[in-house]
Parts: sequence; structure tokens; C-alpha cells
Amino acid sequence: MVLLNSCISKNKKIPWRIIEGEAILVDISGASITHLNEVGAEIWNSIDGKKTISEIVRHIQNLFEVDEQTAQKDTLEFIEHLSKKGVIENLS
Amino acid sequence: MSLKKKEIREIQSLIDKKLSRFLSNPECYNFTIKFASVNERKPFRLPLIELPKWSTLISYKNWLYIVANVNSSLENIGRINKNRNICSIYTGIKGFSGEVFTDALRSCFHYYLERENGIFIHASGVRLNTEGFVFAGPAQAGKSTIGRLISKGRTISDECIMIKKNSSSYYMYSTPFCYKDENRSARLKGIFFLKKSKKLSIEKISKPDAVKYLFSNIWLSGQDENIAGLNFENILKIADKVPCYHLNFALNSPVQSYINKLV
Repeated sequence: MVLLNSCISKNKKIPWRIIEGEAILVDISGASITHLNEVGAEIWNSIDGKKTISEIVRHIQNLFEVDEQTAQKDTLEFIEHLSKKGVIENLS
Repeated sequence: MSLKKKEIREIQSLIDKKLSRFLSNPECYNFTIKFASVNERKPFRLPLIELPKWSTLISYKNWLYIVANVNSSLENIGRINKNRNICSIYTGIKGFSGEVFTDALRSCFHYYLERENGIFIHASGVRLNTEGFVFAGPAQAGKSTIGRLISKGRTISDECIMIKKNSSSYYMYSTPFCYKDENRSARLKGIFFLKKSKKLSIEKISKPDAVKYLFSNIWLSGQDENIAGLNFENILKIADKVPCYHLNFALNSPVQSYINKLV
């Protein structure tokens, strides 16, 4: 389970690339691709092993001009989804 | 193991019948037939290659040998040159079948292709004049059908296409594992992802979508992060250079006229 004060990082084994503002992630076995839209790509890009989820939420809130509650809910759900896919690691 | 002259002649005749059309084409990927003795063997393990259980991979000087035990008198052997990608095939007299080598040889071949910026894609390839068009999709998507609809083109394979960079352009090739009666290559003009529909439409897709669809239609030589990463890099380069499209079509669609506009 991820919390707002969790610090997360990308799974180093996952090949990925930002193309035209969207992110493409390949799972380790190569069996599937995860395609993130502009917002998802921005969240993915923000995951650097140093920022907490709370800081990422603030960044998304400012960039896309959404209210705090929406940004928090959507970001947490999205990160939970990435965590289940094994593409991120929870450092704290 | 050394082969007797009579055995060599019989083997050559068998191979000539099976592969002569493929080997005589100078445009194809370099496959030659040679005969030699294997005097020394060293066991070798290449972890990234998945081979059938009945075969062994052996490294000897500059060659990788795939040895398959089919009968007790002679072993069927294929080999690939590590430096120049020349494939040679030796075969036992009895029980030879091209299919014996298919999986093992494909694995070895695949291993080198991935390291040379190439991919194997589940697709048909049609050559029209000097241009190549690849049509990708799962089973029943219409890969064979599309080749028939482009009546002025020649289908080089309706199952598996190799895409590889040659000089500064990407080319499509058939392979010795899966080809139609003509083995040709062609400079790649476009890749089409097929879908059956009532209406004909062709729509160019974005690069992120092209990467996604390409990855869904390729074969990997194995399953680990290194192979996934290698193929991902190859696909990124292909999507950057080769235009990709959605092609929705029906059995009687005038696909030929649409494709002609692209040539």
C-alpha cells in the first residue's frame, strides 16, 4: 500500500521511454506494454526515488491546474496501479 | 565426426531440394551450405537462447553449432557464424526434415538478429514493385488475405517477417523458417496493423501507438529484461523511421488502390 509520505522509485529493470509526451513501459518478460497518457507520463517522470508522493501530487496539481483532492485521489490510485504492475518500488 | 563422400552427396541432394530456391536468391539473408568435419567439441552454454530439449548448442571457433540427435548414425547440425551471420546446415541422411532445425536454428538466428537492430514480427510481407509492406496482426487478422487482395504484389511470407536495417533504411525479409515460393526482400515503406471491418480505412498512427502495436506483434528470443530491452530499443528505432498505420478492411476491399497511393 502506498501512502502520501511514501518515497517511490522506478523499477530499474523496466525499459521505458517518453515519446511525444506519452510514456511506454515494457514489463520484464516483454509480454506486455503499459502506455501512459500525458498525465501518467508526467507522474512517471516525477518518480525519482527522492520525491514523496505528496510532492508529486503538488506538482501535478500545479501543472494541470486541478484541485488538491482530485490530484491526490487520482495520483494515489495511479501509483497503486503501477505498484501492482511491479514497475515501481516503495522505498519508505 | 567426419562424413563419407557418399553421405555428403546424398545430404547435398536433400538440402538442394529443400532449400535451393531460397539459397539461390542473392537478396536473401546470407545462408550458405558447406560441408566440413567437426573434429572437436566444447560444451557451451548461451543462457539467452531457448533451445528445444533435443538439441545442444556448441561453440567451436567462430561458429555456434546446434546439434540435434535424430538418429544414432548421424546427427543433424546447423551452425551460425558469430561474426558474419552465415548459416550452414548439415544433416543426417535419414530422417532429415527442415522442421528438425526450425526451432533451434530460429533461436540462434533470432539471438543475433536482436543484436543487429532487427526484429521478427508476426506478419505477412508484400513486395510491390521495389517497395515492401508489412501487415501485422494476430491469427485470423487477415495477413494471408491482404496478400491476395494486393494482386500486383508478391507475398514473401504470410506468417513471419524479419525487419532489419540495411545502410540507412529498414528492409523486410523472409526467413528460411517461413517463406512463400519467392524469397525476396524490399525496402520497407510502411507497416500496417490489421483489423477486419465492413469498411476500408487506413489511418496513420502516432509513434507511441506504433511502438505499442509493434511490441504486441513481435517474437522475442526469450523472456528477461535484457531481451525485452533490446527489442524495445530496436522497435523505437523502427517506429522512428518507418510509418505505421491501422488498416481496417473487408474481403472485397480495394486495398490495392490505397496501397498504390503510398508507393
